[in-house]
Amino acid sequence: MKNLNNICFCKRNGVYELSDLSDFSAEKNVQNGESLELLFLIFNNELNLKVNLLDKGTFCDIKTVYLVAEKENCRIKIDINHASPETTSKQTIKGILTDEAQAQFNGIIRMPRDSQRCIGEQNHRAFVLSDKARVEAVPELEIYADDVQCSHGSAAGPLENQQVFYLTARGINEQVAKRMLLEAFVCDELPEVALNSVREWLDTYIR
Amino acid sequence: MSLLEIKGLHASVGEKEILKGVDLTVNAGEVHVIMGPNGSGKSTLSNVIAGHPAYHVTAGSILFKGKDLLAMTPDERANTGVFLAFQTPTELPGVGTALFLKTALNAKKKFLGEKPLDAVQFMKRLKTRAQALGVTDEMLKRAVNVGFSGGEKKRMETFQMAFLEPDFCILDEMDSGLDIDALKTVGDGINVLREPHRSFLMITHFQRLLEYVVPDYIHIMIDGKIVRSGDKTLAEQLEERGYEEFK
Repeated sequence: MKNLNNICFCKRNGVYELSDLSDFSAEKNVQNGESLELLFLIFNNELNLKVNLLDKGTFCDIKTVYLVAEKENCRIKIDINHASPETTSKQTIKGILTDEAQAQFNGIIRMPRDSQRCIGEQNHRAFVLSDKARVEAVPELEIYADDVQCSHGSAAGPLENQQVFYLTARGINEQVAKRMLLEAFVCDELPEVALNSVREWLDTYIR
Repeated sequence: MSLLEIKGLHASVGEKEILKGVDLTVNAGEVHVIMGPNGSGKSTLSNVIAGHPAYHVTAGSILFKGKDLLAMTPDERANTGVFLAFQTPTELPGVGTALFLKTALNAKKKFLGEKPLDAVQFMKRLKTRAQALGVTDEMLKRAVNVGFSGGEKKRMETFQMAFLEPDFCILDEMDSGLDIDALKTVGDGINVLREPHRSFLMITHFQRLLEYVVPDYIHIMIDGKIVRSGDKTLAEQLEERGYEEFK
């Protein structure tokens, strides 16, 4: 078992900085027009995050990348509560699973009756690279307000053959091609400081 | 020795047989064109030569430079000198165009036992070829084919071909979706690459690309077979009378 550590980043003044691992299981209140931007890189273990958007104009952007292999089981629960009108949330969850790894993603967006004009967005995408790996995505939208925008999407499956073929048709071997596509997929979201451990994971498990 | 020699080629997608006995010989320096109605197997032929895993060869052979092409993986075929310019170039989000080209070129160098290019040599080669085909720095900075217009995608395919210097270029409907100016740019890009050692196989529906790139041979493909071969006058005949009389 590769011993890579989970990492949490918090964006301050436009820059992602390392943050406390206690954020992996936390309830956060966002108020006074502030915003909360967190990024989690998960190799094992659980993420259980609740965010309360308490007043108008508050915003949260939660990005999660999970990379799981062997018999790892990764559980992600993100619960966003739009407790005030005119609040905005965004969740981007990306994963790669191989070997016999499993992942469960549960993304909740709550918009109570009085929380009008809120915007909520949730997007989960995972590449499942072996027959024995499993991912389960359960989006839960609890929307009671009528003047809101809320969207969610989830897709899981193997790499696209056509993309792999395009690269191999240019002389790049299949293994390198797959590795390039996977690295592009996750690294898109991540700050420079996180890339080393991602590459180490890919070097170990994408052979 | 011919550059490419296809004999009795049969190929299927799933259960469906598409190619039903194709014979085709291409010598070094020649430009061949395959024309035919939709569904006749033209694109299947290009994909089979390039090694697309969705197509299965059930009979026949392809020799390339005297080697058994069908025994090679797609990357080995590319590095041996086969290039497929895609009809619909695939978008690769997050994969930078410059990194992609460097990886491809150095894979070929390694395959041929040559030294990889360093960053300076690579940039120089990239800029020179890009300029010649109107590929801008901005296009090279984007992810491969992402956010490109139809014309830009085709220009990028032509540019990749110029950059990788293959010996056998398959152009699968390079003219589809191009306006006259873009068609001319792509046509010029192909003409510049014509050399005594390099051959082309162009797949097209229309005669218009042939006004820019004059072929040596034209083949008409119907229902998975080449039913007629001739010189460029065959295309004119086709334009006037359609495929009906060849069926």
